[in-house]
Amino acid sequence: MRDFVSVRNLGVRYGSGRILDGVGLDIAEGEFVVLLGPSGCGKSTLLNAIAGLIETDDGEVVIAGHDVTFEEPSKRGIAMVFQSYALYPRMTVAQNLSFGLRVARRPRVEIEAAVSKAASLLHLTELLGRRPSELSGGQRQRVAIGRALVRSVPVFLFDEPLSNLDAKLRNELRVEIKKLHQQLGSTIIYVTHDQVEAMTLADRIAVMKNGVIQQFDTPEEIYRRPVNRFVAEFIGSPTMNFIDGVVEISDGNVGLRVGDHRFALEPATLGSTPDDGAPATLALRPEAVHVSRSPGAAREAAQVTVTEPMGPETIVWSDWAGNSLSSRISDSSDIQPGGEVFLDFDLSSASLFDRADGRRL
Amino acid sequence: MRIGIYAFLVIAAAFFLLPVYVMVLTSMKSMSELQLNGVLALPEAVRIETWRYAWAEACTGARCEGISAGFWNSVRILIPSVVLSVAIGAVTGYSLSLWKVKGANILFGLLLAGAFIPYQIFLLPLVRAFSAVGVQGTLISIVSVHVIFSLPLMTLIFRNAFSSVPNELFRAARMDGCGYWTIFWRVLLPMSGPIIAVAVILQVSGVWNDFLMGVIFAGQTNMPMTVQLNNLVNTEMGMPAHDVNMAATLMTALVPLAVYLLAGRLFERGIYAGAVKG
Repeated sequence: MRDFVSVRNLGVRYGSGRILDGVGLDIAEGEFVVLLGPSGCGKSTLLNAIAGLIETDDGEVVIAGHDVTFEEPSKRGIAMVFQSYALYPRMTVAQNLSFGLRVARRPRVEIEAAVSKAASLLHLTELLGRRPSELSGGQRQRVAIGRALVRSVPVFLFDEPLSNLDAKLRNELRVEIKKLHQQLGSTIIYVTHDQVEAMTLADRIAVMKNGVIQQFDTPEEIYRRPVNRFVAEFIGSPTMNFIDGVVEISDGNVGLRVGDHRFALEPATLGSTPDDGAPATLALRPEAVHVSRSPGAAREAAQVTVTEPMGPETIVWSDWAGNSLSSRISDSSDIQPGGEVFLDFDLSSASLFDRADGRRL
Repeated sequence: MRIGIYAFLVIAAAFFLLPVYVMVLTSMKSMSELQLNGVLALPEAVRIETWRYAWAEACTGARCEGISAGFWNSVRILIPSVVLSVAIGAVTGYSLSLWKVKGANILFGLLLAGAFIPYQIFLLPLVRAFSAVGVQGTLISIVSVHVIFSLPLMTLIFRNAFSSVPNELFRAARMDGCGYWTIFWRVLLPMSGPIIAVAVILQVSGVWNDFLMGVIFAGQTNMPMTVQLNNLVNTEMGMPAHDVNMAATLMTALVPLAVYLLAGRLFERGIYAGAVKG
């Protein structure tokens, strides 16, 4: 796959602070890429820089083989959907959809065809004569998406398009956006702070923090092998279990000593061989901490503190060796707060982080 | 509680309407009737003869052709002054609010400071400047003065109104290929009805009611209605003709009044509704 959108060494400063710092991103044609991170991490700034809506201080943006770093937004071959919809309030839905083409003085036949195509794709045909004020939030955001579609460009940018909608609509529209991507095959760059949106929609996710991309990989890889503690903490709900210990190497086997217990780490999960005695943190997904009702050879006793039933599964929180651990189980009928359970640790998908700088070991 | 509010409103309305009542009635009475029955009594008959006289025949200074000439002079001053000042103010306000021009805040501060300088101190320099280029005492000079002195206020009004336009709307328009003027004409102006109404009301009443600038800059041929009204009221010999004065004054006040009533239609609630979330 050749790179379709390339961001190279992009820098944006604001006063003396750096919002984006040497960001690089290569996106293939037809790929759905999500920029994910907490607020203030620079993800929206990066999207606006790709869109050409803010000035950049360093680096370049290449779209479809053209260096567009100094191009006007409308000349970059992109369309954008905004968080607040940003519909033109005095225009009808049809006028909103066609505005970009009318500004570009396209032939009337072409405009009408593009509008009716986008309208039928997004179920807006019935609403074409209405004003934005007469639409619900979900309809407004569909119009905003339609306005982007009408321009038939190769790259679509979405800036937190679902953040203003309630949970039910958000789920519906998320599925619609994914369907739309499958139908159109366009390249999409999508900004969100919602990890569920990121995991469900993305071909690849770029996790950002402080203006720097921490990890750019498939959702599975980011979930299974986070490159540092920040990514590990940010992805997954409930978050990973972090257990502090000390690296212990015996007979070439790497382990982590936590009190009386030694976690025998699997070589496949380690990127390098850490130093003996180095302080490190073991990270386990809640589904890697198995709960049993009866003791066993490798099982550790723990005290249940809280259970959180979520319908198809229950999150069990228990205290073990001073750590509060979460487990994901399907049947919790006989587990009560205050009771004792026995934990099995599945280390096949464990992560080990340097305790000082948080990088993956 | 309700009764108290209504009582207050009725009293307040009566307080402000009483002078109007007296003026309208006085303009319909003959002078002898006025002296006999006092100012509050109803007239014996509805006489509009006084109005016709004040409009077409009353003497203002040396000439005796009523205040109609002043009315048309005022219209000739009013229309270009209001159109130009509102148009220029809208564009400057737009430039200062939505485009991040370098030094925009300093420019705006200077403009604001300009709004607070008493304009009387500019009078002499302006007269000298207009004389130097040979336009003193013409329509050009009086219109220029009105446009220049209203620029700070007009810019302030439009800048503040446009500042409340969601920034994403502006970005969406740029994404749709709009440039500086396209955004102004096709995105911003269609939703600026209320603020334009405010600006027009301010300008119409300001320009129409102006007296000082009219005396100084308009010249003999363009004397606005206010100046002529003053001449009419002040040049009577002997007994003041109260009925004619009242009729002329009411006619002079009609234009700003009409603008208030008509421009009210432009106020429409929820002008931004549907543009953004909510």
